[in-house]
Amino acid sequence: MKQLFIVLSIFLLFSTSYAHDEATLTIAWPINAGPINPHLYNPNQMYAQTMVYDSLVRYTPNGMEPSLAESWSVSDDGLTYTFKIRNAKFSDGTNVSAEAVVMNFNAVMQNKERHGWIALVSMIESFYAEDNNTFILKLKKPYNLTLQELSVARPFRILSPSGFLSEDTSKGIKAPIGSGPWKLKETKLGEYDIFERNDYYWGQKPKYKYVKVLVLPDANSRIIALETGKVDMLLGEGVFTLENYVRLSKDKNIAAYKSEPRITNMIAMNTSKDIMKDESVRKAILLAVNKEHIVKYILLNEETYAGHIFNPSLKYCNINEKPYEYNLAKANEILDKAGWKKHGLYRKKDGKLLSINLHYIGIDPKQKATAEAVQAYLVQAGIKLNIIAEESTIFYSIQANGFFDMIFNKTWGPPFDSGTFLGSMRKPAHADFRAQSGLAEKKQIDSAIDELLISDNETFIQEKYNYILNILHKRAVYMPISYEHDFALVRKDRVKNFQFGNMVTEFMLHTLEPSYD
Amino acid sequence: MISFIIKRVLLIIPIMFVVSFLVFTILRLGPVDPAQAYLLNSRIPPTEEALKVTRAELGLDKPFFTQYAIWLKGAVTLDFGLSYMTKRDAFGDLIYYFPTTLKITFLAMIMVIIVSIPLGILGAVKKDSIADKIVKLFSFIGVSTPSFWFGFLLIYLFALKLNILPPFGFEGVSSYILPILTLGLMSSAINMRITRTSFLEHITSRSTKYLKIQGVSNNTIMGKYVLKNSMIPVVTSLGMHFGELIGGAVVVEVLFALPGVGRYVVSSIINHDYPVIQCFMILMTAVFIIVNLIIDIIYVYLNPKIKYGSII
Repeated sequence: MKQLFIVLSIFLLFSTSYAHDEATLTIAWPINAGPINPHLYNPNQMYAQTMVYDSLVRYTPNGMEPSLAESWSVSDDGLTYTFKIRNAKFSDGTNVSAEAVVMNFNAVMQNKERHGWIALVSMIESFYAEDNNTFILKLKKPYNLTLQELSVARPFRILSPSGFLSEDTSKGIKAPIGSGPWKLKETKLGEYDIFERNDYYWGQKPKYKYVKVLVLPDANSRIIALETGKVDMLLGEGVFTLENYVRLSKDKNIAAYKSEPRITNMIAMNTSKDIMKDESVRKAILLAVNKEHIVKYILLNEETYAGHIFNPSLKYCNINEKPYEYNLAKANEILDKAGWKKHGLYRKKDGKLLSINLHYIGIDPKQKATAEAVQAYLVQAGIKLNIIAEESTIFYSIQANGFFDMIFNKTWGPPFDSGTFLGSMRKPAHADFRAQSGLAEKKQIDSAIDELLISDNETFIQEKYNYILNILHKRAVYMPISYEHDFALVRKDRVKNFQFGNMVTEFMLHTLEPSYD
Repeated sequence: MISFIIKRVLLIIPIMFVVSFLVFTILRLGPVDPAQAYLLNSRIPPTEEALKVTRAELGLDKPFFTQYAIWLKGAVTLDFGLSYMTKRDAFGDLIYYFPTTLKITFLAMIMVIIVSIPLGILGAVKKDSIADKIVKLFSFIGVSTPSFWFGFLLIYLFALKLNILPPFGFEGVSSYILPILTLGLMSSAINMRITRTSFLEHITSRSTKYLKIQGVSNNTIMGKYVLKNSMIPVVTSLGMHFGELIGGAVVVEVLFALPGVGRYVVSSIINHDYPVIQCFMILMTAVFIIVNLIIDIIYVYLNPKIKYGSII
């Protein structure tokens, strides 16, 4: 009996309890959610900012929809936006009001240099509360991405006045009190964050009482956590690898979800640099690479083949241009005609070797494998491609300074694609600006972007889009590779009703239901 | 001996000063701008204006020596500044994370001692026997196995397949087993070889032969003379293993999601978070100096012939 007791004690000591709390949804994320200040950046995690706070309006692929503002109108001159604030409460029970919205806009505008990346900040002339439920936003000039930029994860989200430490939230907040479906309950540094249902939430109430977000920095550990049932689902950019997605999508206990295409993965070619100034070289590169094979064998057919820099399903982006399809013979012909003659394996012109550098982020397996494939294809056309692994900060420095022949690049996803991303092409700190800077039409492209961003004439906007996208296509500035999707892995025995958010960082956890019953 | 200890303790101050200056300088020699790293981590395009604001916010817009003077002034009062990434007190965070690392390091160290010394002695005493061959094979495998891979194998077997141990986190005593096995394997294997070699050296030494001739019992020779003398290189190696285990803890902390200092510092290195790296380097210098001092004191206990007074 005594021995049996000892054996049982040892078993209890070493065995782990896998009891699962039905009211708690458990997911994993690489780091803690941070203080969840709605107006600041790192370490505040965007998924948490969208869980706790509302924006005035919500982005959907089919247009904007109400959020904290139940309706809005825009003046004829496009300069005044009037938002009717809904009758809602913050998670501490205090009322949402137009004055609260003003406090938040004040806090954002006090640090406008910090938010300079979002063009709307420089467009705002003034704002005020007309009455308790009416918020007025006045712009210096019309800007047709105003609503999209108000909907992003930060900085235009609304914190309760009771959460303010001072007017300037960049110095910190008292508590993360928002009107979103969740409120922060507990944080244990390096271990987990717990969110609790906000019972005052004005929208669809979450079915789960709590969301526990385990801090698991390693992608493999996160997958093991899912397989052992320590977490109920995994989602979010970079949370697991494509290989694990493919493997677990065959598991009968796991439901694998793939969103609509979100972001374009591409390689930008620097039209102002050396050999790359030669349009025939750029065109030959586009024709010599078999992107279908890259999508099939490297991206495991889990990303969609991309023919253009923006997915044609995006508004204004369906241009009538045929993508550059793989055609090695034509690539060779173009290079021959341009005077690049083969000398052994590689081509030369006036004694100059056709040698090009492609930079990629060293720790990104997808970029590395793609770079190697592109290198192998270009050898067939007599182009020597030197692939260079970079530390990520240095990689972005190279992008910003234009020190590249070819470099990996991607769009920003919804709601930034395509308008805000196009807008960024005018700024020298972006790879796109650098890549396009050698084009004779660069000034016209920038002017067209300026014009389309302040126009409300659909036909005019479409014309400008056609001009810009056609020029970029014809001049062979980009090699679009794939349209990237978001992925999620969900344990069927635990969770049902999964759906993706409209932005990469919008986790629709409040729509999920436990699947025990 | 006392004056030796006092001198060594006093030496900590200039060493720390030199280390602090070197670390501060070397970090800034790199091509990476931490302001840019911060912006990229925040998913903000690093425009010139954004970089300017961030540099000013992080204090990176000031001249090098001004930056150093400000930092040093804070550092002497244990104020190492705020982490660029977490905006939290770097020293406070390291102190928060240190206990987990020290706990798993000490437990792994105990495992190293318990496993490596007896098995090393067994291998030496039973030289060329089956037991010795098993010990040799174990140390060969242990040295050659990367800890992250070994950790994954353990997780795969005990957490995923057998479902008897937790794959990560702290859920009680059982949570320590896999991390400690992962962390301690390589050091155990190395130390086993050192113990075996050192023990063999002393078994076959002249002094041991004389003791045998004098009729001293085998147990006394082994326990009192051979064991004590052969432990000097083992103790040296254990001192070095302490550093190795703290370094190895990074892998274990990431793999088993333990909130330790290694994981925190590695992410700080990746993010170019200078205040955290500087604070960590200063703390680790202090820890290493103290551990080495303790090892030196143990030497004197093991071999009273060692005198330190003349060295300093």
